[in-house]
Amino acid sequence: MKYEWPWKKQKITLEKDLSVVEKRLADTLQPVEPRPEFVQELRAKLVGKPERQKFSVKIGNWQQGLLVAGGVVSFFAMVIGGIRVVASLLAKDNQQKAVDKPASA
Amino acid sequence: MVLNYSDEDALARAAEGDSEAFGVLYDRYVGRIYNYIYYRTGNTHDAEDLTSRVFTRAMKHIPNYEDRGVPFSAWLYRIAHNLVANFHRDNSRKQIVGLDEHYSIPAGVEQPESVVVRSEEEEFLLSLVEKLPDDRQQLLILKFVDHLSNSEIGEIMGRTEGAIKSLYHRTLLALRDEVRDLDINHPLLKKNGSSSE
Repeated sequence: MKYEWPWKKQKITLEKDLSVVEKRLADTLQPVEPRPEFVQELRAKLVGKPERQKFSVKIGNWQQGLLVAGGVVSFFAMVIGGIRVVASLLAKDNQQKAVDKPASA
Repeated sequence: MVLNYSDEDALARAAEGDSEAFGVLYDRYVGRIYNYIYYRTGNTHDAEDLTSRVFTRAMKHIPNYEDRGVPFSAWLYRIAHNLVANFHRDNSRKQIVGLDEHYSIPAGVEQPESVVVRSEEEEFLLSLVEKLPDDRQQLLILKFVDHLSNSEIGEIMGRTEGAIKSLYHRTLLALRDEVRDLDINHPLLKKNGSSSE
């Protein structure tokens, strides 16, 4: 039978104790999440633009950036097209009135 | 792209007044600094107040920041450490907050999600940690909450890696002795470390 020296035994006990304390610390000292409202409000106070980060993430990818740019161009094309249609309708209406006036006179 | 800045780049731009670059640093470190302060103060209210002061102070002094080979995170932690020290000094004068109020949940009050429900055993261990000297508390929080390595902790605390290792060992010994002196059969010292035994 192998004899265990008392001081060796003591060392093993100490190491075991320390590893238990270490494990308990790891279980107890868990990270906590700050309130999202607090984080956002503080960011807004410091930087002033709380949504800017999210936006930069969205357009970070060049494909998504292209999509956003395409969307903006399409929007303006639609607005200009709409204005042109309205303008041409008004112009036609005015022409019609001009043609109708001498006839009725 | 702003988010891809390294700490050094963001720091250089923030020092020139680029608030968005400071925002990048803020997003990167707000959680860690909050955690550090939360465990040093023991409640969310003071943690929010002091976190807010840390970043306000950092923003104010960032143009004067000098790179002396210490990471930006270490600089932030030092600001946090100084503010927490002031907080405890002021509180020890006022003696307002009792230990039992720390880390506990008042009955009948709706708690924010960030509040952790703790067992009696964890409360006990936290109360022991709270009684440790300042540098030992700091070491345990940086190690277990922020998961920093000994060398990173050394940079923050201005000590060598070896000194941190030694301090850590002495801290564990002190905690073990504290538990043993109070109650040798305390569950904290049961061999397999399980709370359900």
